[in-house]
Amino acid sequence: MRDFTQLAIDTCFAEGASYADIRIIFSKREDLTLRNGVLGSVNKSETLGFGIRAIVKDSWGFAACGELNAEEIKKTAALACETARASSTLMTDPVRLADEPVYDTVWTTPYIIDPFKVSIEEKLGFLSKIDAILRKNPKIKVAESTMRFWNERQWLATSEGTFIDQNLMRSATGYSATAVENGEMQRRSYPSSHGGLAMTMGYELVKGSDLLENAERIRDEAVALLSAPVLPSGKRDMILDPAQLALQIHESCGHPTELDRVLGSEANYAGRSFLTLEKLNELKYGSDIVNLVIDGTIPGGLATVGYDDDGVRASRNYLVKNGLFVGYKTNRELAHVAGEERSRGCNRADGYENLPMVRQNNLCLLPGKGSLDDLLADSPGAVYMHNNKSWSIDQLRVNFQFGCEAAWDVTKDGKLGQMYKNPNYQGLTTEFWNSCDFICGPEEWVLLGVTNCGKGQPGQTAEMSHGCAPSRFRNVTVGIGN
Amino acid sequence: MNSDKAREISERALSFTSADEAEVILQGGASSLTRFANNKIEQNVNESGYSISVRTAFGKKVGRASTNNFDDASLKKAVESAEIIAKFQKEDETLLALPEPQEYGKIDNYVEATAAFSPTDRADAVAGLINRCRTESGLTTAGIFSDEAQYLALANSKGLFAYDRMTSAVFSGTVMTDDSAGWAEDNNKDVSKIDLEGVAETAIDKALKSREPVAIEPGEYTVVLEPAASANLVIFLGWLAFGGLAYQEGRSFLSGKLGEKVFGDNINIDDDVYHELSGGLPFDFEGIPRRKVALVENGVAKSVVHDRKTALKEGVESTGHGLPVPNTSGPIPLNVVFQPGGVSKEEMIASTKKGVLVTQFHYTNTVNPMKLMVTGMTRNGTFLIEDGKVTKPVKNMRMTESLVKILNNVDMIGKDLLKCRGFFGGGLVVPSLKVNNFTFSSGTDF
Repeated sequence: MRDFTQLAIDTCFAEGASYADIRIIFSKREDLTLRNGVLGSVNKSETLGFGIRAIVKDSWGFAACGELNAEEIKKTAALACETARASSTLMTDPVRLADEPVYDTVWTTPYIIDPFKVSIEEKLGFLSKIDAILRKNPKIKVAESTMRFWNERQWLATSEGTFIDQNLMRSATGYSATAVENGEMQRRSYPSSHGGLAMTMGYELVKGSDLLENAERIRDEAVALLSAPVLPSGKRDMILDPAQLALQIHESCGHPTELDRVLGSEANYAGRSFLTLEKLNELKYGSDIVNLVIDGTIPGGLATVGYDDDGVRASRNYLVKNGLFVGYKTNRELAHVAGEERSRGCNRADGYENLPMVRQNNLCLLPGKGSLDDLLADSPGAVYMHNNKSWSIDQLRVNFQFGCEAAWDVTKDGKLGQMYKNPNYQGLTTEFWNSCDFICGPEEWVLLGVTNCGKGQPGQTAEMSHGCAPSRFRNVTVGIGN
Repeated sequence: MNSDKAREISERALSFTSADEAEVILQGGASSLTRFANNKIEQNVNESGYSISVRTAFGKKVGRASTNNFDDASLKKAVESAEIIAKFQKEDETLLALPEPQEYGKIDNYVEATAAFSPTDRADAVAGLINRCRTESGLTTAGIFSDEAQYLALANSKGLFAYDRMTSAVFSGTVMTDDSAGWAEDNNKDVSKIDLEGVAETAIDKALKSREPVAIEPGEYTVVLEPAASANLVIFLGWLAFGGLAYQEGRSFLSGKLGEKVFGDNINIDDDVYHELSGGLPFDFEGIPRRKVALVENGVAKSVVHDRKTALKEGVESTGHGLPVPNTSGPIPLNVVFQPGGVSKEEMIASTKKGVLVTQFHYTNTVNPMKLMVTGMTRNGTFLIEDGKVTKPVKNMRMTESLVKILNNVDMIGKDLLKCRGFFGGGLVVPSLKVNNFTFSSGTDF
């Protein structure tokens, strides 16, 4: 691969580049969905391609190609440079990259069992067991169970001399049960609705999961929701389980702290951010117990890598510390805007064919103290919401509204009482996080993956994890439209 | 990639299988996009490539695998992977034999000038808006100019071969001041027909007129929805209600209601890939010709769309809305056309005593699929209408409302039929709508 990467860089410099990098990626994927006992969807894919970034006349150009050979590399490098020259005609500030040491290294996801070597028969056998449990009740009209595995071998070379050979392995599995009766439809999924159980691991993720043990409960809850009352409208203290809280973190903490959004790069599409530069180290984002860190190093995190697509070594950084907003997600190009000398390693691309940009890393709400039982005992009259069903947030990431799969009253003796269907809640980001007054401890803390985060034009999908424990928020508007 | 090359690759892939039946889908092309923000080009990208997906079937067992390399070894490996997957399946009694060769209608959606557009052409195209914002104090712009040429070929072991190509170009601009934003967009298969000045003028005008917005109380209002705002809502009809599988499984609002009047008398909606504004291909991912389908006529739910499997269950023919088999979502309308009315947006505004004019909704999403309840935020220009005139900009609000209620309260339908792209993809042809009793459920301070 070094011959190819050097050819790309040499071609860019011959075309006038002052910086260039190339990512060659060989990607394998396997997606299996069992739907009502038969194959719902399946694909086993392999792709190979490369993307070249070049700075010419202080401006960026990028070109990618799905055919790896010397001729295409030269052609694509020239196109990246031609594109950069076109960018320069409307340039204002020269591109400036934060310093990063030069690496010549290898990094791989730690995993035990290569999922691509596990037979289709074994995988379908596992999904079939789940499917059989879910469909035991005839009111379950759709049972879907999935497994997905994706492996990316990346070779990143920069004109500064970095050469990184990285092997990333990700696995995911989960299921949902949809109950239908008399014009009513309700769904429960496990363990979460955005990618299920998803981590940087091998097939040991499936073998060590508790999916089978929970299938009966999930099925029964889906059916029970059909006859449950809707959550009444009003103001309630609210407890979020980790599966819902993960998406709350993703949407109202994760995206607004992306520095490219703050600076307007997404203004025409996904939007900007209320966390403008003057709020850094000034805004009380949440209550004192709210601590949020981005962590590219956490074991099992979907965004856990050795190095990002800028060639920056993965790190761990606070975004919110004791409630105070203290940091952004950055890349080499934008770090200086936040007054930092080094990137926080958040530059990632979707495959070889896309340009790297600031993405959410693994973003975690640090644990507090106490068990879920302690929290419930302390929360009589609250509503406990489970797992995401719907999400929407404005372009500055202030006004959000989420729907959940199920909710329960917390009784006066700290137990789960009446179940409700179609629960939802609405709030304003800083008001909401400042109302957080209980975060359970490490014993309740889990790391959940999001596998479908969309951003950018052309659209890119990225995956990341969010760690959190059940948490309580005071006086929240619930039951909108119910 | 021309038809001959697509046929050669497809036939070569099919020649490697020993399956009872096999099908290949070959797709890809070249796309480029110039992205600007802060009055300069920030991202400028090009991508080209193709992939081939092979489906093999042994009796009632099916497998699928894909690759983006077309040498013999890669194609053989993909075929072998698909065959291994197929052999380990349980039999799917609902799996259908592959279709015989079909006849397709003609849709001319390919324009050479669009396929040949260069990075310099794109820079020139966005320069007008950027330079206007640089020279007019306090304006910042962000947006894209994209062009692409896409190709799709589908072939099977029964001799079916379908091939088509399409181009598209999009210019989208958002203009911001320190307390407002405006937006406009144009898209066309022919890049030379993109209205560069019109997009710039509209986005700037909306941004300037949106300055110093005032807050109004959430609640029920009459609204005038510009086409983009209508599209942000109407797009959910296709996803949630008019797919054959969702209908048959009781997961659609329409389940059991075909033939019933579900919307107002003035609502007529088709799925029509042949409409002059639609774009799209004349065949689906099973190789079946796409048909025009009347979804709603005078408020009566007339039909859902089908693939071969849902059609068989219903005892009808496929409408040509299948996705690659197997899939979990079933057929969905991809080219919804909301029939226009006869009034202008200005006439809608003039007829409104008190209401809200909406440019666009952001991040619309489903709240309750069985009630077609959706939520989303206004964006890029929201205005108060008083006594038939637009009087002032208002701060953004969240709508939470049922499409059933909305489409029973449409007071006027615009004649300004436009093709709109949806958030995170999708697209449809819709007019502006004047809707009574539309619910805004909460507000913001911007």
